[in-house]
Amino acid sequence: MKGSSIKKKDYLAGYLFIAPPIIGFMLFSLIPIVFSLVLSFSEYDFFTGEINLIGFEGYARAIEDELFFKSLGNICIALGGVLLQIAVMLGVALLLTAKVKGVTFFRALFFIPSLCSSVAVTLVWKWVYNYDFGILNGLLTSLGLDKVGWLIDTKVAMISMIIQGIWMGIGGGMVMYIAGLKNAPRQYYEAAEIDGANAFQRFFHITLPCVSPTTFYILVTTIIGTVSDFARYKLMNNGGPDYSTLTPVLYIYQTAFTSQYGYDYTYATAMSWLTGLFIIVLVAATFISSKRWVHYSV
Amino acid sequence: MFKGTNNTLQALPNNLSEQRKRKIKRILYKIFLYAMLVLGGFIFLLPFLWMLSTSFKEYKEIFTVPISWIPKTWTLKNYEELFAASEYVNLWIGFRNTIIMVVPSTIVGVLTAALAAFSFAKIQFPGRDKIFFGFVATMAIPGIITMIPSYMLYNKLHWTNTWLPLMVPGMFGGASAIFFTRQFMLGIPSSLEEAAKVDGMGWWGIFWKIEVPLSMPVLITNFMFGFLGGYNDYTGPMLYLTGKMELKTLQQMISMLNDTAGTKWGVQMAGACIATLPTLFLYLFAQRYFVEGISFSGVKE
Repeated sequence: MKGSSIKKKDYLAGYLFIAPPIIGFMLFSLIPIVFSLVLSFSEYDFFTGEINLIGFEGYARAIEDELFFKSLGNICIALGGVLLQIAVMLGVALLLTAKVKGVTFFRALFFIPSLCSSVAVTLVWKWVYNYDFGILNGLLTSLGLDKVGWLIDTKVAMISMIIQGIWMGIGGGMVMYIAGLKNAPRQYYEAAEIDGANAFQRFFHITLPCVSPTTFYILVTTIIGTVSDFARYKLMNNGGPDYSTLTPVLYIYQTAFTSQYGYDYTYATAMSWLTGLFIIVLVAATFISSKRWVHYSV
Repeated sequence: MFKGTNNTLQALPNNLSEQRKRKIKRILYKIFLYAMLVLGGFIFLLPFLWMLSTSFKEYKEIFTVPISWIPKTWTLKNYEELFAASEYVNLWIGFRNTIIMVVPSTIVGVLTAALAAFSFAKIQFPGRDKIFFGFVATMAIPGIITMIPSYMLYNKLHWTNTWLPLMVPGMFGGASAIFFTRQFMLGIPSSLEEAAKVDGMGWWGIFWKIEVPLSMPVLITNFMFGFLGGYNDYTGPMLYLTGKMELKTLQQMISMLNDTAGTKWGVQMAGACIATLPTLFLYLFAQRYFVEGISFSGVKE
């Protein structure tokens, strides 16, 4: 008798303690998600606030919207940059786990940009990329090379975003890789050395498989972060020049919240669902492929 | 194995030159490592140096070709202009607003997340693990889906142009904070709770007297990341604080320099310096929590 009443007390405490986040999720995520789904199939009158269901019109419009496709294409370029970013993370982590002096200092140097605000960092990089007086073109000129239109050349602008993204985005992954590399079992390397494996073989057959769970985690979070990235794109170029850095999230924002596209909440919501699906498909593909290249047993 | 022994046998006669070769190889490798580190470090430091240098330059010197790395005449004019209050930018107000908005809500959020994590880690109740994994799965929902409907709902509630949309949701405890705190608490031996229960302590008491003090490292880490997330946030304030300057955050004001300071890059860089300074201090004083917190999340996953 006594035991069961204690158990009931346990249940009560258990449920009470998890109640706040669950209520928070329902109020601030679930309700907006349901509302969002309704909106994406509706038409919204900005002045009267009336919402009428119209079906798939918003989605049909998105599929024919060249700008939306352009923005998806741009984000695919950025996603290509993710692979480069992960390579840089791992490269720096390898340098910092080799027996060198000043690890704390260098780690801080590579890590701190990832803690800084997009606002401050983008302001600085806008100045770094400045065509006439920026430091990069200054360096190129002093080397006798031609200036590059980092932010004004439609072919280069997205690459500039990727470079800045790598600069401010490697910190977290680098620290995770350092932890992962330190956990790689020493005896594998010793065995490989005895068998006469060279540095490249050791890297591809031991190091990469050993850190593959870390790579997987970083890949998933970086994909989500890259597609969701907003502030940098808004502040650096606001999508320009000629839409070459327009991302889906920026386009959705402009459609819903600026007069440029007439405060079109419902169309923007339809596009946000398509963008959300795009993210989910990418993450699912990463999960499915991970069975082939992620090794948890090592 | 056989091949290995063979190699060693062959290597014996010219052992000396082999050793020297190895030594040279090792030295070259070390030089290569340091060269890469210094080069990479310099590339990462460059934008910061450029920001700092520009912020102390006279207006004229900013637009000189070839560019000057070190200011010829050092000036504090840019900082004076930055801190001089204007109609759109008042850094003191921005800083005050950011702190009032971010600190209390982050502390509450960290504690509610810890309470839920405690329940998921230590208390037995039906459906516990299913609820937990369902909750973790919500992390995968792309945030972009809720941006517009959330804005419309807050607008209906008359919460726009107040701090409420930026403070209240976080106080209920986020999924990732719950996940990491639970992971940490699973490592705390339950013998401590058993002893406390024998002494007649309830779950609430156990949480505050045992779990919170022992989980301090993960709680501080959660607070750091929560605080920086709020301090650095641009999108939220941009959506919800569109009216009076008196309500705006530091980052909003820094971002406004882009328009108000125009070509005054010195003032803009001074703004970027000021916005970065608190982050730098936070890292220097709490480096351990950042690094261990992130390592923890990467390895456990």
